[in-house]
Amino acid sequence: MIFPFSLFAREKVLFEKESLYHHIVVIEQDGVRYMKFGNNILQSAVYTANPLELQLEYTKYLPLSMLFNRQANRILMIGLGGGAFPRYMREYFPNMQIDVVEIDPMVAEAAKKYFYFKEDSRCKLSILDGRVFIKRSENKYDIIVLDAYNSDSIPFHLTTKEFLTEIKEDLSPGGVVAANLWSSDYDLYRAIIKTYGEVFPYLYKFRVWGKNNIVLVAGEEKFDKKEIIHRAGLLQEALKFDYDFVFAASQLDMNEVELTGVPVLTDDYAPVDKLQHMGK
Amino acid sequence: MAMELIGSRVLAPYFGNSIFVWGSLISVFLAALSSGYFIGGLISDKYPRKSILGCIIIISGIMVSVLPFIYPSLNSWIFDYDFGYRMNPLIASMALFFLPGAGMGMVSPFVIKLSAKRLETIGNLSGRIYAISTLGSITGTLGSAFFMIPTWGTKFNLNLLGIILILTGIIVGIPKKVKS
Repeated sequence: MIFPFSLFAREKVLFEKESLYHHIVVIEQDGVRYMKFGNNILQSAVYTANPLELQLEYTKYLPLSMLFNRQANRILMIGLGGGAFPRYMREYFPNMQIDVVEIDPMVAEAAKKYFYFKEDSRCKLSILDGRVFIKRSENKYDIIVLDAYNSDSIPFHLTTKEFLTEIKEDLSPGGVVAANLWSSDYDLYRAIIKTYGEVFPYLYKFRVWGKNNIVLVAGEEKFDKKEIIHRAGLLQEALKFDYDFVFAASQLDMNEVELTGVPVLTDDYAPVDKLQHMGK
Repeated sequence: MAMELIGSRVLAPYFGNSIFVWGSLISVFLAALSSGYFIGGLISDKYPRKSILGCIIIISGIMVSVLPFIYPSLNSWIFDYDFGYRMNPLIASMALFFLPGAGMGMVSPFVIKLSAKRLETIGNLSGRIYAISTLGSITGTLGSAFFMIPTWGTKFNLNLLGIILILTGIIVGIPKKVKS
């Protein structure tokens, strides 16, 4: 006899708290821990048997930013979540100095307790709004990764031309910014691409296989697709990533995005909510 | 309320979208209204004239419409001086929104004073004025969140609110011709 609840028997709630910003839930199922905001907005995931392995597909595309700045040894990550990316980078790049900024102290608490995130001399965490951190920072970063856009809500002040200009000022020469975006909210996606294009001359869009995520890398240098894939092969060989890094690199989409009819987002006018739900 | 929502757009680029920014905005507007109610009551007893009420609304309107020219440099200054992550948005909210908010708070007691003719119906009257003022807040909230912020820029919205206030002040303040 099959009990209907046996379907859910292996799902265990480890943590559930109302923070200043979110309803945070950590559940474990079939050897994977998930961090969610609310009941269905997935933030992060980790295999308990192998915390290092990148579980969410898009996180496998964030290290592609290394291909655009191969000497990078200082990274800033805006938006911690479960901290999968900093954990991975710390392990595979022994000389990497990683700063992370997260607005929600309880997300940081959950990341440390359930997602194997550790703070130490090579990985420093600040509890601050990302924009305030960028404005205050006197460091120069080789790569800045933006993972603060939620699929359900976008902090407008982290999308604007002024913000991206402040980011650019915090990049070292040859530095790039990488952002996790959604192509499913197409008008918002186009407006964000248009805004990045105002600040950075070259945009590289990686379509995350089987998902709606786009990992965008923006910088000042021009590369062709062949060169990126070639570099991915070299890095894969040198570091022995545990997934097909070259395949991720090959998802680079060189097609132009149609930019008419959407605004450049500015501090004065950034209608992110309207753009996100256009036509819905 | 419209000012409060648009205020979040004024502060976020400098002080973020943290809980401290929202807490600052809401408490400063409440403090401004509270002071406005109090002072408005005092002034209305002393000078129960429509022209004074009109002037108060016009002055608030002017203060709102000049905000776009003030807030970028004021916010940058506060950010650079750095009173702390929590204090920065609180001080900025005080400096930008307290006076215009207080001016708007003065309106309700003033209107009660000017409209009150008999003591027996004062409950009825003040109830009606509170109801109208809260309906105005609802209109402002819906209007700014659902229409103004998605359609226009922050600076334009502040100018627009200021101009609406100034026009209202003029309409209230000019003496009406007495019908013969």
